[in-house]
Amino acid sequence: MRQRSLRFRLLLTFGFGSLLLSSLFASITYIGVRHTLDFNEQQNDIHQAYSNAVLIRTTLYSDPSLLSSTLQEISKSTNSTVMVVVHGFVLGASSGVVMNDIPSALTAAVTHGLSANQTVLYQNQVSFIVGTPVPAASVQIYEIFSLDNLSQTLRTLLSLLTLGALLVTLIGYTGGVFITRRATRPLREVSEAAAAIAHGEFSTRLHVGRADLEVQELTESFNTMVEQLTERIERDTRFASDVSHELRSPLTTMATTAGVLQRHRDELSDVAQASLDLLIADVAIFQSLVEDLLEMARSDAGAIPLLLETVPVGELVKQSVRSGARRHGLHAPPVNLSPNFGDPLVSVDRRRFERVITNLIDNAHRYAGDATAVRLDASGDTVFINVDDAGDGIAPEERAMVFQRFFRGRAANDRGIARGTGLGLALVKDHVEAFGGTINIYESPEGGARFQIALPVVEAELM
Amino acid sequence: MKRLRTLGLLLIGAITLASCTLIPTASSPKTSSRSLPFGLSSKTIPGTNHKTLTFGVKYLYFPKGNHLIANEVMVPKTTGFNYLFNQELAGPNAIESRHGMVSPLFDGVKIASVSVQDGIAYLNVTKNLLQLPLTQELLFEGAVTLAAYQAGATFGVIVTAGGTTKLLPLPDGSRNLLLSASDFTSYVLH
Repeated sequence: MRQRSLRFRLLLTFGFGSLLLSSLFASITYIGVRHTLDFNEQQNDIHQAYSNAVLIRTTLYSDPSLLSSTLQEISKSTNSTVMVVVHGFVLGASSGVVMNDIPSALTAAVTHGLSANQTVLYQNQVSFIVGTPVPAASVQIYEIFSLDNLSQTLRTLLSLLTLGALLVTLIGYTGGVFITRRATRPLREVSEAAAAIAHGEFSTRLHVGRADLEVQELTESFNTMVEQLTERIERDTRFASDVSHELRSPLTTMATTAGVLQRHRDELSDVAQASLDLLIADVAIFQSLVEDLLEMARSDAGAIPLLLETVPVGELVKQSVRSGARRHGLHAPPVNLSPNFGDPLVSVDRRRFERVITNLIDNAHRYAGDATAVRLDASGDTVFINVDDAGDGIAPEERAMVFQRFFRGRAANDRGIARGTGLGLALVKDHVEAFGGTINIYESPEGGARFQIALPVVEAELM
Repeated sequence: MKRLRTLGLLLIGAITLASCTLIPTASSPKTSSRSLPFGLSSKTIPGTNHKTLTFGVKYLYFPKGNHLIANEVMVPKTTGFNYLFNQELAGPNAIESRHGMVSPLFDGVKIASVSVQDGIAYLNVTKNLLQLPLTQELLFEGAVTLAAYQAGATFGVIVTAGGTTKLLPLPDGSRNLLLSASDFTSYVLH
């Protein structure tokens, strides 16, 4: 399963974390403030109710006929509704309040001499009822305070906190975008640099700049690693080049000597002739291996200049097939151009291109019963050079590996006579990529393998 | 770790949900048995010589159709005649009106003055009492006589209409100067 990117996870963490924390903070703040305001409001209302109860008691004692006007005054000045109850009868009330408006549990508690209060819905408004027993006057007083103002305040507070939480979430997300971009940039640079190095750009280095300490350490370690790796590759290349070079002279001597012996083979016994044939064959393979190794080492070291020329690809392929086949004593396959192929130009190094074609034909000769044809085709800005062989094809799982150095496929192992160096196709790939092209393996129309080189078409150079 | 994270998220969700209400209502009251301030818990009225206020049940009578409806009211026992009688003259309250009761002061009849002496209430009313239909006049007489009785005028009521004391009609067809509560008991519905 493909994991989500680090940046996405960090952004998710920042965004979601900001949302959670701001929601939590806003919720706790709101709950705390609501509790405080509600508690204070209730305490004020209770205190007010007690004061009003004293006034009502005094009125009842001094002049009960003033009860109604007293209740109206209380209602007006405290924005509440008052009801005086005696033995279950409403003695007086400031407005249309009736006994049924008071919860029965509250009236029961007050009737039993307990002061009680409750937050209820009264006329569709959240209200606070305070019940006060007045034993000296044998009455119970219920005062209903509207909590509408408090509700309004809390509504405003809730809106502000919600807005604040959203803003904090947005800020957190924006900060997350900034931080993750800054945090993942070094990783991206390391990834790009590693990819460039994997493609052979060994001069690639990371820049320390004004990065954080950890990033600086990572950058320095990475650069040190690349330098050491480059040095090691160069050392290996130099070694291969030196060894190949040193082997070349004795090999030439051995080949010359074998040639002399070949000219006098009639004078040799049968056993000596057989030994001479083996010697000549192995020396030829050894020479080929040394030549390939030397070219590869020089190519890796950049010792062979890439001499690009803009040439017509049709003619170039025909020449390369002819000369490569002749030089290596191979059968030259026919070169077929697709209808309307025209005369497209490509930019290549002639010597290397010839080596590419020769190696492909040689490979077909060794492992696949020879090349059947070289077919040229063009599509858009690309020219396709297809080298088809008469073999059984290459298994899909082996196709990517045959271009690796010293890889020997199933066909090579099965055929005792096919003794290659294991470097020919690796050189082909290196050279094609140096021309800016690609090489892939498909199945040919005849059922064998098709090595397809794709090269970009270039415009004619103006003289 | 995953369980802890889930628990944490659930906790935050619960807190957030808890903050969604403005003011939560309560299903049961909060009670306090503590002594109330200002001497509210005292059995007697502070500042007095251990006085208390007690109430008794009295009745007010309001016409409905051809009858008088007796309405219970709680009245402080310390109050005088006027407290209850004024409530009678004030007419029915909102609830009583919704039940079809009306004021006994029909068609502009007004009480100029009320006084009580030796258990008899003296009512000075405007003379348009005498112009009322007999039924309304009887309902008026019954309402004020019965209410006066409840307020303390136990011997009856003498009515002066337009400055002249009149013999007023009774339910049995006779006329009398002193209206007694017992004359009107047949009018009363409880």
